Amino acid sequence: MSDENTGQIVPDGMDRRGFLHCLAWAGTGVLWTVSGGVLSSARLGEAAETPTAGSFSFAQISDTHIGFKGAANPEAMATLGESIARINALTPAPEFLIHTGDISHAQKPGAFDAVTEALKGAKAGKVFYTPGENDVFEDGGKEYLGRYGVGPSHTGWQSFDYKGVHFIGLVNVLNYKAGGLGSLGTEQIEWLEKDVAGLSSSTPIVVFAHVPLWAVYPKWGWTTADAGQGLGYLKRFGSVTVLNGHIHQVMQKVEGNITFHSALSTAFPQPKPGMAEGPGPLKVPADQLRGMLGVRQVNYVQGQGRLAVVESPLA
Amino acid sequence: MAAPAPAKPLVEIKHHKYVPDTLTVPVGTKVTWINRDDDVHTVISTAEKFRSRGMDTDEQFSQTFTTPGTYEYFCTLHPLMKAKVIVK
Repeated sequence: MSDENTGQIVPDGMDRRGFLHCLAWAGTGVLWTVSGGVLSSARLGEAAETPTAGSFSFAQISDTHIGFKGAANPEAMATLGESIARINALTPAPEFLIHTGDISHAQKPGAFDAVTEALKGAKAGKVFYTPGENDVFEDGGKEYLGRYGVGPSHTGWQSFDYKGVHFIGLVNVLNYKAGGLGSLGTEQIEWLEKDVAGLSSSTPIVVFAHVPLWAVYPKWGWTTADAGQGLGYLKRFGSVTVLNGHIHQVMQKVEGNITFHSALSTAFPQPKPGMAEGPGPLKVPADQLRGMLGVRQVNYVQGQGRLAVVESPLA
Repeated sequence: MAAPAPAKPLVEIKHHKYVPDTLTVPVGTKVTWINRDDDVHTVISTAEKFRSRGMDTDEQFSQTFTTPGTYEYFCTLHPLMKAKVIVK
């Protein structure tokens, strides 16, 4: 794999100093640090200044895998609780939450209820969901769509506007075929084309999905077969931020005006691409686990090009 | 094709692979799959002839094959995982 996939966040049209200044402005009261290419934050205990109108923050949570009992973390419910505490400590407070799938571990009974209930404790308003393969494989999405189904014909894909930013939730875990990869499918791609057709190219776009929409590691299924076709309709936009889960690790890639960000899980880490015999839960020493789990804050500053993505590990 | 070796009718799922990925058995054999991964896997017939539920660590699924043929299957959580049972 190329270094590009693990590269640092590259701000668009700003040097690093300008970028950090922008971050500091967006989150007064937060100490910003860069460690290993990943931006982390720690609260200073100061009150945040009133954000400028039109600027806002939201949080991403991913791969909660409730029902997982494996050695990599038998306490997935406890680390979900810690993750919600992290969300509640974010400054500025997120205005909503996006869950990028694998809510449940293999649709274990009671898992959806447990996560829905737990997230009521997150001080982040509404929660937007998109499914992971663990949430839909047993019944083709029947239970998931019954609970969270949104968008045209209850398909699970959706879009909404928030303070001038256009959000698009895509589903790339349904209709898996033997020997194949996750895909968006013709119907969803046609919907996406229509969904953005009337938008000005200066509209900031945020896309969220479960499986990466870029080729992280196809050999492990860490890509989406027809993502290029779907994202082709977003190339004309000046700022496109793509958020995903599935691979349980932070990774970034920049392609033109599209920036891809893969998120941490709240349940267990996975190996780096190709660094194990296969993907799957990675058992690490207990004192390292919480450094590999966490949530993410995304800050939109009106008038700035690119959204700032800040990782917030549990430890 | 060589005569089928007397195979133990067991398929282990490990590191996101079915081992062996081709199992040849006589008609009437009950084949068992066991999941050795910490990920959940499934055994789903591509032609919809049989279907396991999600199998967690060390859980098993069995299917008895009464008709000769080649039965391809895959994992609906990790579709790159595919294998087959040949029944003679």
